[in-house]
Amino acid sequence: MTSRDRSDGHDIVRRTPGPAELNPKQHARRRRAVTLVLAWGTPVVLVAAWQIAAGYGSIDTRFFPAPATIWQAGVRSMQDGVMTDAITATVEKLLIGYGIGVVAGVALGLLLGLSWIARSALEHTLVALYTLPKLALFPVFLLLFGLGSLPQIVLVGVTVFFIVILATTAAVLSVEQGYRDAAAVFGARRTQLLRHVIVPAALPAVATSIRLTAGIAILVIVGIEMVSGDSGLGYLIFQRSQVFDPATMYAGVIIAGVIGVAFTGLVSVALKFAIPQQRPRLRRS
Amino acid sequence: MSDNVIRATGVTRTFVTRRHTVHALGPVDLTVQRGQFVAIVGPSGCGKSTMLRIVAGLAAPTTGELVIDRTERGTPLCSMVFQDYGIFPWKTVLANVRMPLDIAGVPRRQANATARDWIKRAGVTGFESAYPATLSGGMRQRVALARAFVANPEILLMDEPFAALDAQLRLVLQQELLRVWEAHRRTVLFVTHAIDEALLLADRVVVMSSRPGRILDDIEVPFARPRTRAVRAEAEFGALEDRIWRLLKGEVEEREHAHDVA
Repeated sequence: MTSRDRSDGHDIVRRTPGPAELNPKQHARRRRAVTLVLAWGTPVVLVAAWQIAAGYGSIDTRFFPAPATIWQAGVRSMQDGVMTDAITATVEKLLIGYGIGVVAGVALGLLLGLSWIARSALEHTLVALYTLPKLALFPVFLLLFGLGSLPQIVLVGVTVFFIVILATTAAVLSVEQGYRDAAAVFGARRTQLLRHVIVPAALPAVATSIRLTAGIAILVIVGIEMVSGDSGLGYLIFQRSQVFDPATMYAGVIIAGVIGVAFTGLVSVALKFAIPQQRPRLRRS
Repeated sequence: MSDNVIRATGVTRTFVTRRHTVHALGPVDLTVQRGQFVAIVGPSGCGKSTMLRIVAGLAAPTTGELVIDRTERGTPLCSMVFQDYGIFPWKTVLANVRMPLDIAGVPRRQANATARDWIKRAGVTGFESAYPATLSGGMRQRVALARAFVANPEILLMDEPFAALDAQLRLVLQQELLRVWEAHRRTVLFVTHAIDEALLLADRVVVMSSRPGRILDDIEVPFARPRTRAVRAEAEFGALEDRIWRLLKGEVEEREHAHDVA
């Protein structure tokens, strides 16, 4: 803490311990409490303001129904099974498409990173295909895979795949030569090099792409459900807006958001445990 | 005494890039006897690390031949201590030290026991489950030393292992290396640019010229083993240090001058 005072012509600057130094524990506790209150307070205040504004009629409840109305519509659609069916359908497509995209992306990315022959053959083609908007290919997927969920799963998978494969290839290529040498000196074979060096060294960068694509996968699945097919949250949201049931529509939007947060959160936590040097430890032994 | 482990004849190494060709090393003729501790000193960029990489099989000679005569089968030919990047941040200390044994396919239980033994000898006991990020630079190099010895290699290669450490830590680790090596003798090729380090540790000091590196001198170090820091105080230590420095001085100055012109 710095204080100033002036006495007979001198300007005295005093540096002394502040609250953070005098009572660090209490200071930290207070800081945490304030952070918590503010973080939760902001959305609560916003929702409350929305509710009050709707109650006083200062916003048009035909387009922006009150939070309480949305809550009721959400509960109702859960009870009659409309919402639960939509959630199940979306989550199922998401998990299958994302899972296939990640696994194929990582596997082929490793291959591309390790083999210059595979890289020479495929890299340029993959980069060219990557820049192609996958949504523009959706009609082709419809022709190939019919009208059901399959083309949507493929779209999610393909979107995820391209990002993960390019990130994995780059990650493998950027593994420091020194690490490879350190294993090679001891006579490591290709599979051992992969296990002891390449995979763990590339993992943090690969994990970033896996985390990013979790969010992208949700955007893609909900988005494509709006324009195609007859299942899932995207379909529900769009269809409810068409039949003028905004409360259920908003409930669908909120649930899609919650699924997004939960899914990306789960993926992040899982990845944290997969990276040894970053693995959270409860207590060091 | 003709029990030579390494025999290099006319070894050179040339790096070709798109723009130009760099003649980095040689021709070098060098023989190393079994169990000898050989230090290679020379100015930066003289190809001494390249020489080590050729012995390790990480690089091939452009011309010439390097023959390694191994007596033991089943143990790895080489292990190497690097200046950095040597130990893996994603492995615990125990897993790092155990790695050569894992690669050799030693059963886990036995490998753990051997690794723990070397961790103890290198003075890192208590840190077995720690990750390198939580260790100091000196501790990491101790781990690297333990890992180099654990595999029981025919030839131990060290590429400026203490160059990144501060001066005091260096003294400590030189002492540790002396202690461990004198108890477990094997052939060592030790690259350094510190003349005193070379004289303290080695049986023989090979002095190399600036690029392309050739052997300027090959000096037998007369001090008795076991050695301690005290040899630095001997008159002959100073004399040898001076002799090597005279050789290198010209090389270094010439290089500096070349830089000025360029």
